[in-house]
Amino acid sequence: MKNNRKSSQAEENEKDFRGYYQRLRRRLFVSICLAFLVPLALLSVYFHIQFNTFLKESSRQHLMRLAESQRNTIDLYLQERVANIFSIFHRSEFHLTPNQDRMNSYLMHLKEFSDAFVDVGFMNPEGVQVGYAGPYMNLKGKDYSGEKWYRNLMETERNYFISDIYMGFRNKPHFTIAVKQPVGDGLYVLRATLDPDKIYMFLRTITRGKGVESSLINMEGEYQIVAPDQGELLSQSPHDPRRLIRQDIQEITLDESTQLVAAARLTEVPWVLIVRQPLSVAYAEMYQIRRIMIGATLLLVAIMVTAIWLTASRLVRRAEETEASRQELKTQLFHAAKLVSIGELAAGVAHEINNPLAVILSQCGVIKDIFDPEYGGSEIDGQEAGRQVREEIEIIEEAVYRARDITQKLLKSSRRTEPKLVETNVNDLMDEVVDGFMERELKVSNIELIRDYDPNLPNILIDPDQIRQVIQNLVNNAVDAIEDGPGKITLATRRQDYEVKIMVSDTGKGMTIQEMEKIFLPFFTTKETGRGTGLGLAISLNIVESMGGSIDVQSMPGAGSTFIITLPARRGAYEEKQETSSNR
Amino acid sequence: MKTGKPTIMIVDDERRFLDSMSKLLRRRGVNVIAVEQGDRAVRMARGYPVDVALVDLKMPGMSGLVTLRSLREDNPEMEVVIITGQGSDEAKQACLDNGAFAVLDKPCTLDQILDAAIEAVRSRVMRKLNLDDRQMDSMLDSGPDTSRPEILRRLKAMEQEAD
Repeated sequence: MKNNRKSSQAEENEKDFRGYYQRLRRRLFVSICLAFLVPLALLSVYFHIQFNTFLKESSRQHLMRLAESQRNTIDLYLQERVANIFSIFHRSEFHLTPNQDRMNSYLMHLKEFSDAFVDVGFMNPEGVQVGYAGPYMNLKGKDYSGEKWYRNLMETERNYFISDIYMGFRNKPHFTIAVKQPVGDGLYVLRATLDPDKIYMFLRTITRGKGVESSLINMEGEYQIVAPDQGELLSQSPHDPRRLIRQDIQEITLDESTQLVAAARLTEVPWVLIVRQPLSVAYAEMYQIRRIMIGATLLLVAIMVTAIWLTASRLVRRAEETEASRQELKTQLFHAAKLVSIGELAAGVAHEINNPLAVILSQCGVIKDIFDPEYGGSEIDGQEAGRQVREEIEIIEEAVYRARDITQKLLKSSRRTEPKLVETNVNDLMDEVVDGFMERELKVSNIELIRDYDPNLPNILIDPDQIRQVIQNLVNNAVDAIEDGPGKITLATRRQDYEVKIMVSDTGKGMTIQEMEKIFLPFFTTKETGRGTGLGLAISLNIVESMGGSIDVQSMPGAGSTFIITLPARRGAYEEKQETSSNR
Repeated sequence: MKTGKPTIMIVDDERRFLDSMSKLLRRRGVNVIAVEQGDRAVRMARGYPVDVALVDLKMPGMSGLVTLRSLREDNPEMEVVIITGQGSDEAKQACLDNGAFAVLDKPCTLDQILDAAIEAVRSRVMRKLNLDDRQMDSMLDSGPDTSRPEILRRLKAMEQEAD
């Protein structure tokens, strides 16, 4: 009952113990994770942001440079066209009143430079188109002095003007490059129109970069050059040119797709070049790197978490092992304390028990005398009855002897007398135990006794009487374990470094682990009631430990048990033995 | 008091032990003086010649050890056997050092007590008659009855002859 309660309490303790270490492991893990991962996370977020900014900026710069280079190319293109037109003035065949052939040859001349030229016209100082070559022959003779571009050309300080796209007389989107050339008093004008589609094609050829769309708008935000799928010429673009120019580059969301937009103002025309790139393309590199970074970070975190978990587990396991061995030590201490207290209790109680035992024993003698005619006893109910009573009384006496054995052993276990150490040959001591009576008894029980002694066993300092008692005890246990033979008991001695081992093995019934844990506890016995006091091993352990030794058990149910007594041999005991024997 | 009977004094605080042991010994032809206290035992021993005293070690009042010393001081011839139910090795050794002839563990059988008494008287007789073991054995072996009470009686008779 008491034992049960104790063991369930022990289980609970163990559960607490386990729970404690599980909690400890968790806490350790979480705190190390926080300590390592929080700075790591902060750092990686910081670098992530920095890197993003850098990459974004680099993408923007890239687009910006692209816009600028395109702008320069277009400017150059337009300047070339202007130069093409000027070159007509300087041709040898130039004439102030050109006939149709001349005009046609001018156009041919221009088209040699660029296929964007649609037609060419020549205006006298009054603004009347006196010569024309191109598909719109009805324009010949038209008065352009009222046209916007003409007026602008007249007003501008430069000697050329490039118009926005307009419909004009021909009612088709086009734009005009006009140059003026003073000849004598008059200001003659050569103008050529360019096909926006051709310029668009040109724009396409100079556009480099993935997903980049370029277009040109004028200061009113109307498309001048645009991809057909982006919008129509002269239609209002969604961009505000003035704002674009101020900011250089910005992100604009159009039709649910955000685009990066760079703008550059042309120098030749009041147009703005718009270069657009979908954000997903512009920032593709950034997104890619971000994915790699996140993946790498996650991988790193996973590795660290694993490492931390393993480390924490190992630490906690170490602590657990330390604690377990401490617990074991505590149990041993508890066991030792229990032995001492049991001994003290026993010593106190033994006297009180021994006194009534003495009374019972002597009283038994008195009763036996009463029925024994030899000592003046009467034969009240005949001789036979007297003999029977005496026999019954002897059973009581036997019980008293048994009780006496227990009290004597209890007293012995409590008496911690200093062992009287004598140099002893353990082999001889073991022979003393088993020789003679014991050997005969074993033969009767059909038990074979095997002696496997180490002949080079050094003498060791022990109390031979006490160790004899221990060996006797172990041999008795071995005999009891074999129950009804046949069986084998092996007595062995071995020298191992500075220790001497005494082994008593039997081929008996063996023990379970649960039994093995308890065999050294006082009053624990596997023997049937009345045969064992449960004190033999407790006392044996006490004796061996008092000489600095230990007792180990190996056992398996059904296979038998081996008790191993380990006793310290003094360093050089063996050599000394040789010396002393040679000195004698 | 030349009764020819050996006299054993039992000193024990356990009344029933005294009674039963006295009966047993008396039936075996032994004079018994039973006392419950050590100091009474010492006084009694002054009046009666006692061959062997059986003294319990642990008693209220005068302890067994003090009783032993007093008895031995008063009667150096008297042998004292200590009976103890608890005595540690140290206590037993102390008894022997203070002149106890032997120390018996309690509970002891009648035979053990008789053996101790025989040994005690025998060694005293051997001392008095200056005999060795062999001579002693041959003197005791005469006669058909070799029970313990008989041997004790013979020893007592030998001692009285010597006196």
